[in-house]
Amino acid sequence: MKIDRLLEGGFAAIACAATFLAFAGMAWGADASATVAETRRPEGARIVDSIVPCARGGAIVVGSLADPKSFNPLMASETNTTEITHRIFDNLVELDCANLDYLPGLAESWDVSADELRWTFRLRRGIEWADGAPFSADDVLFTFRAIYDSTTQSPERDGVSLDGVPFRVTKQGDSTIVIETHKPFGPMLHALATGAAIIPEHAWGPALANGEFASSLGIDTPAEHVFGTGPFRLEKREPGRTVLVRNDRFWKFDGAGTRLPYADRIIVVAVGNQETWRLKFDAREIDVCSIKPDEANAAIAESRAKGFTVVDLGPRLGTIHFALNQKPGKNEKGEPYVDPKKLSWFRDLRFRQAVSRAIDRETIVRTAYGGHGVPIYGPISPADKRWYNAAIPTHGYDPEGARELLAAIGMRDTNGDGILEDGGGNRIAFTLETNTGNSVRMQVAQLIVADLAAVGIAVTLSFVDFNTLHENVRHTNRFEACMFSSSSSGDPASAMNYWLASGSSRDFHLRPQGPVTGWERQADSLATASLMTSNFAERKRLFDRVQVLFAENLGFIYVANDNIFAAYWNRFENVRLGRVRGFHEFLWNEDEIGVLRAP
Amino acid sequence: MTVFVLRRLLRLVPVLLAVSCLSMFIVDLAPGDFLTELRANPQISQSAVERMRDEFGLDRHWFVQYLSWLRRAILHFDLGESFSYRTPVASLIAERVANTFLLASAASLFAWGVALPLGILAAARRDTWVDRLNSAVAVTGLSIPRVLLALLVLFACAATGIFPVGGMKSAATYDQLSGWRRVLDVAWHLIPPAFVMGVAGIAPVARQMRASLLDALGTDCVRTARAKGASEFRVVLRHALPVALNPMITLFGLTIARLLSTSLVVEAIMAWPGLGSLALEAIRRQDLYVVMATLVMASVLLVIGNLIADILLAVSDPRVAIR
Repeated sequence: MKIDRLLEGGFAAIACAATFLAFAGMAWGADASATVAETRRPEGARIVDSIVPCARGGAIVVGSLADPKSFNPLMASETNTTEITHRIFDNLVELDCANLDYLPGLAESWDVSADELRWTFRLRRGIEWADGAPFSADDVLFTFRAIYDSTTQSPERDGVSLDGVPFRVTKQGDSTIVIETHKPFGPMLHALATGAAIIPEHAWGPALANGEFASSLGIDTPAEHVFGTGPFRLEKREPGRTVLVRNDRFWKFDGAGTRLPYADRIIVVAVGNQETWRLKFDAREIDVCSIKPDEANAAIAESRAKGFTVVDLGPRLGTIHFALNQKPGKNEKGEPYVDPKKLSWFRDLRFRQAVSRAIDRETIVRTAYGGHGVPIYGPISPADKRWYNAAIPTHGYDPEGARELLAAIGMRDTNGDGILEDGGGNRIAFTLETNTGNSVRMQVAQLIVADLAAVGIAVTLSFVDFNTLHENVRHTNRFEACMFSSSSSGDPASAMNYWLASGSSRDFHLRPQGPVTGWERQADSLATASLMTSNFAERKRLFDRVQVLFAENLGFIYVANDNIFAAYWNRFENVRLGRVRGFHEFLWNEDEIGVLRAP
Repeated sequence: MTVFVLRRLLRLVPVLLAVSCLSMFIVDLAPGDFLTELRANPQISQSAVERMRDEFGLDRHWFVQYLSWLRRAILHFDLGESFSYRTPVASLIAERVANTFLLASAASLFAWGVALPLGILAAARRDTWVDRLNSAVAVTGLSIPRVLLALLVLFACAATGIFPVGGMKSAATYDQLSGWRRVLDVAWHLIPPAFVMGVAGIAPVARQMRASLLDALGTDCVRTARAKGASEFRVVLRHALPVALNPMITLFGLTIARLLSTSLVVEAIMAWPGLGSLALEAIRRQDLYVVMATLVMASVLLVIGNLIADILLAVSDPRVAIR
C-alpha cells in the first residue's frame, strides 16, 4: 500500500544518503604521498650520533584534545595547534625538552657581544624548505617582520620584544642574522627556542604584504602549502585527524648517514577528553598517553605484561598554590574587595604562616597523588633543576606551631565550637574558590579544608568553572581565597606576569594602587635585573633571591606538586619523553624515533 | 501545498531572529569570554589580548555585536568568523555536517529498525513476554543517561577489542585502505556511537507504535477484516498498521528535529568528528559565532523536521488537508 511504500522509501532514502556520504568521505581521502627524490646531504646538516640508528618507515599515532585551529605557528595560541606546528616548522634554537637544554636549530651556532646587546646567529648552509626552495637569512627577516607587523597581531610579538620594543633584526650576508636589543635581554635563547618559528617567505610573503597574514595558513590551506624546514609536513587534515608526512629534505642525519626522520608519518587524532584518550591508548589505537598520578601504580603494574612503558617524569614544572586576597580598598561601586576584618587577617604574615604550617603536605601527596609527588614551599618547582633554589625556607606539618601563631595574633576559640574567633568576636572563616574539571586538584582543596579545620579555621570550598573563577579573581578581584596552578615553559622570564607586582597572575594582590613596597619591591627589582643579562649564573643568583622572598612572605601558599607520568607502547626506539613546550603527549623528538613494528 | 511550505518557511524567520538574539544574549551572560583562557596563559601578554578584544569586537555591547552579525548574515550570508580558527563559520560547519548526518541517520535507522517491529509485536502479542520485553527495553533505554552509556560502550570497546574506541576512521591505516575497505572501516567505527545514540530513541518509538496499533486494533475496520476471515498477520500488517502510522510520522519529524541536540554529547565523548564536538568545544571556549551558527542550525532542523512530518502526514492520509 501507499503508506508502506512511502515509509520504506523514506528509510531507503536515508540508507542511500548514508552510504553516499560514507563514499563521499572516502573520496576526500585519496592518498597524496608524493615521494620527493632524495636530495643530497646539505653542507649545514646536523649529525645526530647520540641515537640508535633505525630503519625508516612506520607511523606514530599521537593524541590531542581537539583539532588544530590553524597551521600558522606565529598565530597559534593553544597547544592543539602548536602540537602540530612544532613538527612542521623549526626555530633558530632548539629546546631539548628532556634536559631543558638549548641546542642548535636553524642557527648552527651563535655568540653574544660583551655588552650583551648584539647576538650573532650563523644559519645552516645549503638546507632547503620542504618544497625545494633554498632557506636563507631573508626567511628569518621575513618571520620577524610578520611577527612585528601591525596588521598581524601575533601573540608571539611580546615574547621577542623588550619593554614593548621589537628587536632589531638584520642580516649579514645570506647566512648570518644579527639581533640587537636596546638593553641586555637574558632569556634570548629561550625566546627563540619557544617562539619565532621560521616560516618561508616565498610562500607567505604576498599574504603579509596584503595584510592577510593573520588568517593565512588556516586549516583550509591546501596541504601542499603547509610546510617548513621541520621533520614533517602536512599531508592531510580532516575533522578529527591530521596526518603529517616525512619531509624528505629535513636537515638532520643519524650517525649511519640516514636522513631523519625515521617515521614516515605522524598521525594526530583529536580525542575530545582525557578518558577517551586513555581508553584509545589501552586499545593500542594511540601510542602515547599521560597517566594520572593516582592511576600510575596500576598502570605500572600492568605495563610489563601488556607491553608498554610508563615513565615518571618527576614533579610538574609549574606549581599548585593558593592565595589569600590582600587587596585593600574598594571597587568603583564602593564594595570592598575583601571584607576589612578578613583583609586584616590575610595581610598578617603570621596568619599566612599559620595556614601554611597547618597543611599536611605529605598526606596530600599520599592520598591525592597516590604517593607520587612532592611538597612544595616556593614558586619554582623542584623539578626545574636549572632554576630551583633548594635553600628556600621550608617547614614540616606543624599544627601546634600554627595554633601558637594564631593565638599570638589574638585568635582564640572563645565559644568552644572548635572554630577560632578574633579579638572582635568574628569567626575565622573564609571561602576558597577553585575550578572544577580537575578531580585531583579538587581533592587537594578538600584536604586543605580538613587541615585548616583542625587548627580552628573554617574554610568553605567553592567549585566554579574556570571562566567564572577567572572572572571573580582576575577581573573583579572580589574573592577571599583562590587556588590555581601555574605552568612553566622552563625559564622564569617567560612568566613575568607572575614575578612582577603589576603582573596579571598575582592573585594575592592584583592591580596594586600606588608604588609597591617591602618584599614585593625587592622581588620586582631582582626579577627585572635578571632579564638584563644572559649570564645564567647571574640570572640564577638573582632568581634564587626572588624564590626566597616568595617563600618567606607567602603571598602564594604553595601546596604540593604531583608527578607527571606518561606511557608509550614498546614499539619504538629512541623515545625520550619531555614535558614542556605545549605537547600534550610528551613526545617531542619524534624526528629521532624509529618505529620497530606495527601496533 | 507550495503556499503551505512557503508559509512554514516564512515562519522560520521570526524563529531564527529570536533564537539567534537569545543565544547571543545567553553567551554574553556566561562569565568571561573567548579571551579569558588567553588571559590566563602566561605566554601571551595582556596587550596582545587587548588587541584581539578590539579586533573581535568583544568590547562592544552584546546587542551591538548582534546587530552587526545580523547585518552581515542577511546581506552577505556571512555567519561570522570563528575566533579560534579564524576561518568562516560556514566552512567549519560544512566539513563536519556530513559526519553528523551520517551518524544521526545510522542512529535513527537503528532506533526505528528495532523499535517498529518491537512495538508492533508488543501490540499484537499484548500482555505476553514480548510486550514485557518491550517495556523493559523502553524503560532501560530511556533511563540510562546517554553520557554514562557512551562511557560504558567505550569501556566495553576497549576491553573486548571488537569495536574501535571512538573516532570515525582507523587513524593509522585508513589512508592505506582500498575503496570498499574504507567504507567498512567507517561503518565499523559507526556502530558504537550509533548504538549509543539510537538506544534512547527506541523507547518513545516502540511505546508509541504499540499504543497506536492497539488503538487501531480496536477500530471497526479491523473488526470487519477479522469478520471477513483475514489472517491475524494480515489484519495487523494490512489493516491496523496503516491506521496506526499517523502519529508515527509526526514522531519521525520530531526525531529529525532533535538530531543535532542528541548527537552533541555522544560525539563529544566518542570523538566523532561532527558538529557536536565542534559545538561543544565552541561553547567551552565561548567561540561566539560558532555557538550561534550551531544553535541557528538546530532551530532550522527543528522547523524543517516538523514541516517534513506535516507533509508526510498529508501525503499518507487523505483526511489531513494542507492549506
